[in-house]
Amino acid sequence: MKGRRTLGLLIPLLLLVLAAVPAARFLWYYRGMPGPRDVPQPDLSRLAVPTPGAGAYVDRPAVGRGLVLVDRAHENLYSATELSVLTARLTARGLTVRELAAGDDLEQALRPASALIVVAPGRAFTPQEIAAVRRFVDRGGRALLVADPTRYTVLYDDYGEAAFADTAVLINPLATPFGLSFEDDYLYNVVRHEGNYQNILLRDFAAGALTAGLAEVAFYATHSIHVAGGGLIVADADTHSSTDELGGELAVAALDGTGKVLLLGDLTFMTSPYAGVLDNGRLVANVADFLAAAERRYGLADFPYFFGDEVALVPSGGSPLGAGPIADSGALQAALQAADRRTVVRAAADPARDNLFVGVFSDTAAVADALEAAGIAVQAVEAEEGFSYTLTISGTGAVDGTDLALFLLQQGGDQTNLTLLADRGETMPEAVQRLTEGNFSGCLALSETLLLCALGEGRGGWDGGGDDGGGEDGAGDGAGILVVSDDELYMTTDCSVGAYYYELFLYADYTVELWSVYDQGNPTLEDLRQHVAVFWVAGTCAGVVPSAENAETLRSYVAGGGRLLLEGAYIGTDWGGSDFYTEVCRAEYLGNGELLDLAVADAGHPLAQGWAKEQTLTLVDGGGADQPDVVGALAGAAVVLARGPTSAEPGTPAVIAYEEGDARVVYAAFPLFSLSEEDLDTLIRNAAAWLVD
Amino acid sequence: MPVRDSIGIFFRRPAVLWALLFLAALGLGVAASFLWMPAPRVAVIRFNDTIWSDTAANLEAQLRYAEDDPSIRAVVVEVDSPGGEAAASERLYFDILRLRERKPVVVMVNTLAASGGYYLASAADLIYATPSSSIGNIGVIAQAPEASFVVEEYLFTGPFKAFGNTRDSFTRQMELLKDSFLACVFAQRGDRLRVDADTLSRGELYVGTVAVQMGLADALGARGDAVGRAAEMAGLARYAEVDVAAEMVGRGALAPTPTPTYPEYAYERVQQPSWAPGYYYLYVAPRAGGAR
Repeated sequence: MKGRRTLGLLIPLLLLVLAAVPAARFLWYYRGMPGPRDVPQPDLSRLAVPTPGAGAYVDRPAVGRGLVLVDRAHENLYSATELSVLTARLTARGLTVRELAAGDDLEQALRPASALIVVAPGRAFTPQEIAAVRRFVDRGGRALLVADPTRYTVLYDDYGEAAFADTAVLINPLATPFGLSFEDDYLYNVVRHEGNYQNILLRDFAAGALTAGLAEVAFYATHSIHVAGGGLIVADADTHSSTDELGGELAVAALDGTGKVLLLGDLTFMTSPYAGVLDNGRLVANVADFLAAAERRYGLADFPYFFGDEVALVPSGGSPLGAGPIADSGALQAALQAADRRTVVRAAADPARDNLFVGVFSDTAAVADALEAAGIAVQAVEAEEGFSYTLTISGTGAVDGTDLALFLLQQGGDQTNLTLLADRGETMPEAVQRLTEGNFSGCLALSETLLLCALGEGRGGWDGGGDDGGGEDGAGDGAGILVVSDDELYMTTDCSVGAYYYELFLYADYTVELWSVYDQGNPTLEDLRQHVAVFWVAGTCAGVVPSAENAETLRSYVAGGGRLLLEGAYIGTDWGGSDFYTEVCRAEYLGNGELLDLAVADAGHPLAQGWAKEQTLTLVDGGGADQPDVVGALAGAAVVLARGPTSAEPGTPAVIAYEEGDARVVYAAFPLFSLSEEDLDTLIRNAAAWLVD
Repeated sequence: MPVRDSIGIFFRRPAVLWALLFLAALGLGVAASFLWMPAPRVAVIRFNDTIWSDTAANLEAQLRYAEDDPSIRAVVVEVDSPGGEAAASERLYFDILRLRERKPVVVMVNTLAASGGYYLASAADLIYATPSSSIGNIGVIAQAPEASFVVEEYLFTGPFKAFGNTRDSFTRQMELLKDSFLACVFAQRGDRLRVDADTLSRGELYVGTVAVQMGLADALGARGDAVGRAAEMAGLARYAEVDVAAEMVGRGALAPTPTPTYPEYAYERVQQPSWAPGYYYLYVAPRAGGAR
């Protein structure tokens, strides 16, 4: 009994001992029992692939006519198929689409064109091409400029280092003259997008033909566009720019103030299959309508493209045609046929066709109405041998018609008529040649549509300029100014804008020729002397100065009485103390220093007209150059603008001018491009007037 | 009295008998506790690499080891990774979830947990980070497949047999993967996140201090903090740390591999030409002074 009781006591004790060890071990190592672990599982079952909304646009275009030139000459970074949706829309509207191939002359190619498309260029446009595009738009042409942040090219800096740059950098020189520019960014929207954050949805449209019928479109990686006054298509508040992450009111499509230049920040939306998403197809059609609606004003230099499909060639004179008139008419007929114009020869004006009158001053009966409408009278004056002729032109006066040809273009209603009159049959071939080549160099442009050209060797030109007949000459009376762009670097663009802007300010009043040192090489002394004045631009790109050869040319030019504006930030750095610097710039190099503003030092000087005495001119973009030259003026040179109060070495000269004999020189020791647009306009116009005077 | 009789008498004494039984019970208890209750350890697993199939397999083996070893009561994964292949990153995420069902898992971010690196980190119970570490970069990058074409020489049974899908479809499915990434992060981080999905969609990298403020990580600290917290979550009063890779290599369970260090993987293993077309949860560190 006792043993059983002992056993009953000891067994639990043994079990307790058995359990005590693990328990002690547990208590040694653990603070307690961890609870059950609840691990949430992600629910991915409701996620779906985003799908685009399909558009249902059916294109029903109105058929017109015109030629759309598509740039392929600038290593453009797109394939032909990417533009096929747009080109199909264009051809459906009766437009002819022609490519500008590498090596083609853009200005020549634009002569017949009504619209221009430039997409993602991979190579810079020359100053001449930029000017040609602007003139094209001035004359009613329409331009579509498309950049795309997904298109890159490689640019090289001064040291040959390669860097990626997107096409906005290269296309902007075409856009900025119209007050627009592509930002070097891309837009994104992480809140609401079309399948990807960089594919943004757009619902904010300015009213107009280009946005008619649009409810929502999608752009597939787009630049934003800098535009004053609001864009055509604007992103919503959740859309941000990659550069500064600012959101709201970011334009992705914009028209310039004239409504003739359209910028689109994306190419992809008009490519297949994205042209079928939402209202993208309608937008592409609207863009095609925009290009088709160009009302191109043609000048005489655009012969024969201002004519319709059929042209009546009307040789004047009642007598039978001789060998000479037949040859002249044949040359004109060939030129018309080369431009796909069918010609018929008529004895009198054909009211059903466009007409090309060709004749001499002695027989103007067939064009009497045309001349009267233009305010031109031709009078025969008896001379020793037969007759000479005097042209009396309303608003201009009497002009001796000897060795002269008259070109008169009249456009009205559905008919275009061109009158070509020469003083006699012997000079007609040269007149015909000028017309067919579009070469009106040395001619007097009384308007875009009325030219008088001296023929043969009996007369000199009206001036030394190279006007193509399209300029609206005014204050400068057609005086020729050569703008030399001497600061372009390989495949970079910003460097050419200086020269371009000077040309822009001068274009309205002067005959201006642009010379690109990069493209055309160094101009010769003779090249300079063929112009009334020379603007030599070496200031937009830092570090560029005239080469030794160019310096010598400029020295000879000025020594020979030339009229020169020379600008550059570091000319003194490289040329200080040289004969060139002393004789041409009339300056001494003192060092370098920050330049932030200017002060008008001589308000009475013709160059300072429009500015008040001691007025301060603030430079934009920090002066545009880092530590430009600090200079002193040599005896005989007037200081027109001095370094301003916040600049280093305030009061020292910044713009120097002098005249000696026939020579007149303006030297700016900084990039003029860094002046505000208003001040730059003032200085350039003043300088042109003073130099041409 | 013979000795045998003396011993027999001795063992027949109750006190002696009970003493022996006590000792036997004590020994049995010790043996059982050692057998079934080994001294707890906190495993430390280091992952300093880009997530490719091979590196992911290495990490998976260590996670499995930690999961299976009963002495390992908690796991700390030290992550320094720019991410990598999408599928491999997702695999690791789900591996860690499974491990978490049995043992607490704490991630320690020393330098970088970007993209796929953060994907796997987000599966942990807790994330510790150094103040200057870089965390986030949620999203997908991809090398798109070639545009499809048809030629006489190659025959396919379907329009996408050779190319998988159109570029457009490829892009749209990439968006789905991004949403999936976000869903996985939100499933684990839940209310701890003080930032919305749209913001995370931007793919930004945040320094550790900001990441904690945003709820992408839980606390600033170092490895010791992560190990201590993991042990605490496992209810451990005393524990040992174990370097899983070293132990596995010592036992021949894992091939020794050199451990790359940041930014070696960023500059050498993450070069685009080595990519196959496909999706990646990867942060491609820009080269210093490189173009955009």
